[in-house]
Amino acid sequence: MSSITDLIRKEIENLSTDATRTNVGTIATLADGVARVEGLSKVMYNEMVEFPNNVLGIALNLEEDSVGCVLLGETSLLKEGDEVRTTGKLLSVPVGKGLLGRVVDAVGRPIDEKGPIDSDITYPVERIAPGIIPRKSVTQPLQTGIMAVDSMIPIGRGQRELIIGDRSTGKTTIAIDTIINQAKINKKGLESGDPDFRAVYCIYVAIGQKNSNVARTIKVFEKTGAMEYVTIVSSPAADNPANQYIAPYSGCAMGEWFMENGMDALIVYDDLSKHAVAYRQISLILKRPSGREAYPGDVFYLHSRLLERSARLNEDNGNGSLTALPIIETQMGDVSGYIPTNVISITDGQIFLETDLFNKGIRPAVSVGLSVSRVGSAAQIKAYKKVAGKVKLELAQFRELAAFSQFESDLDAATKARLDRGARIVELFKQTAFNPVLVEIQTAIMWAVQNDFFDSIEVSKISSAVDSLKEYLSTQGSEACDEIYKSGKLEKSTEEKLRTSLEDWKRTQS
Amino acid sequence: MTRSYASLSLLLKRLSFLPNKFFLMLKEAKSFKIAKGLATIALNAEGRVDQEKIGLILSELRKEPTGRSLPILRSFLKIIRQKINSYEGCLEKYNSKADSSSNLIAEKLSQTLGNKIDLVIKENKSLIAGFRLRIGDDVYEDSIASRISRLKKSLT
Repeated sequence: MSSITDLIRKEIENLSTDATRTNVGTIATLADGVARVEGLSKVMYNEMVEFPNNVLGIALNLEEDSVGCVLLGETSLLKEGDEVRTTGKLLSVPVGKGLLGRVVDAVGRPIDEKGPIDSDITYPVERIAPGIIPRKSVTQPLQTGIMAVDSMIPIGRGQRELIIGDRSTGKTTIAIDTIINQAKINKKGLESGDPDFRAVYCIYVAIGQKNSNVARTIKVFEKTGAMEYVTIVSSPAADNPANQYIAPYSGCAMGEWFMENGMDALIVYDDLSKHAVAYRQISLILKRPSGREAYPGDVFYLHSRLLERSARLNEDNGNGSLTALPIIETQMGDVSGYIPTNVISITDGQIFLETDLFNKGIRPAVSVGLSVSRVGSAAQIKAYKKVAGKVKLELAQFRELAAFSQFESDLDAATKARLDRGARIVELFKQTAFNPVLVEIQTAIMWAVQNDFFDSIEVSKISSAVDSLKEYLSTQGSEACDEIYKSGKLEKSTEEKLRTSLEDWKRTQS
Repeated sequence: MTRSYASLSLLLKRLSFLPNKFFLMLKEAKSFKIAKGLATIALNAEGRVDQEKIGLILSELRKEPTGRSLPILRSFLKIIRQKINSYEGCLEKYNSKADSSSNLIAEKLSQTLGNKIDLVIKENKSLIAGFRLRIGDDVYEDSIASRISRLKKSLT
């Protein structure tokens, strides 16, 4: 009781008694989450404005006779003629480690009923991306735990890799798997006590999604133990478009805190198609001129300024990084749409997911031909680079040969061998959802493929063989895997240990 | 005065020359521009709104078809209101009686803003004590109600 009175007394003591000066205006019109305000002659662009009933807004359109504000919050209580005040502040969100394990809304307010956010630091939602000088090239890998991605489309810390595909092709699953894998790696790394270990903290931004989907994602994170490293920024479909528009920038500000404090972070924007739609809605209500597909002229800048904030900083600037995995939903596999092409051109590569592959049971349905990582093998550990260097080529050759082999009855031995190898790799890359594989185990499996350990196994039985090998490697054959984990290299001695372990495993298979 | 009449007729002439098709397209922007011009004419030498000139402008606008004059009138009203608000302040106090402090505030404001400020005093019991002054879009406030509201904000 006394602590409460002390707190109030302290607040009263610190309370400024000076006269205040505010710039005010009145609501002239109010529609669809956007208010046109007359007055506010001294408002700044992107400044936070205060409406009655604690509703906040952002001044987005500064015109000669009025100001267009997007509203963040419950708009039903507002009416024409209400007074609006400037705050002199840009929209800011709480940042820091206190946000880990929490679910917040677009302005950083907790929505998980776990009490207030334990953070005193705030970052403005809109910030300028790091320039050229503080940046460094991407070299450190960020393991997704998905074999098809880590082997063929490696992602580095600080990279922006787009996940693109039609609806229900597993885009969110890839992002969730990546987050789960970070948690797995973080736990292992922190337990090992390695002083050089760098944990990756994750931010998942849900834009315009169903609440049920967000709830399911939270459940997956909790079940897999990943939640303690994750912050979820949720702006569901029922949220107003202003919140959906601001949510990715809020999430980015939270990620930037980790980057600027020498830590590594991963941010998933799920998804930017809906973000563009929310921005289009706001722009049309604000009567901004519309262009292609009714999107405003600055829709490219909308995403470029967001994704440019992901970077790898150099040692002089703390050596932190922010990796971005934006998600884009295509319509009928059309990657040449307005928003997909925009985001493709901004990012450092894309993972394209195909509906046909998904329906054939090849999951993750990664299209080898259309997927690319512009960082390439620079973001792979040496051991993995050694065993997975040729896989993409082998798989591409397999796809080409498989198409031709349909018309050919007599195939030469070399072609047959390639087809066999390709079919095995396709099976090998099949992975169940929310089950990422650690990089040392992936390396061992890929080494086994390259050294013909799977050649005698029927193609239909590859998946179960891989599962048994994973189990074997994580229990009995862990010595070689441990060496790969520690050194990141595949030495001759490690290869020998791996061979012995795999021969033992092979005997259990026959 | 003669100059004002010339400007006014020129402005209205410009308005009548606008072809209908373009007029519809540019209605809002053009109306605001014309209203701004009319508002400049409506001011006297001290920069205050001249009632006589306003009457003259309105009588001229009445001659125009409603479809054309209405958007101009709306913008004109908005601008004139802003002009009046820039030299006519509203001082809200717990007690509406004019006292020395009101005169002092008006004097200080005139000095700070560089032009004479007229103050309209209004009673506002919700302030509890202190004052709230609005001039143009700026609100200066030093009242118990505002302090309580600030305390409430810092505690929640």
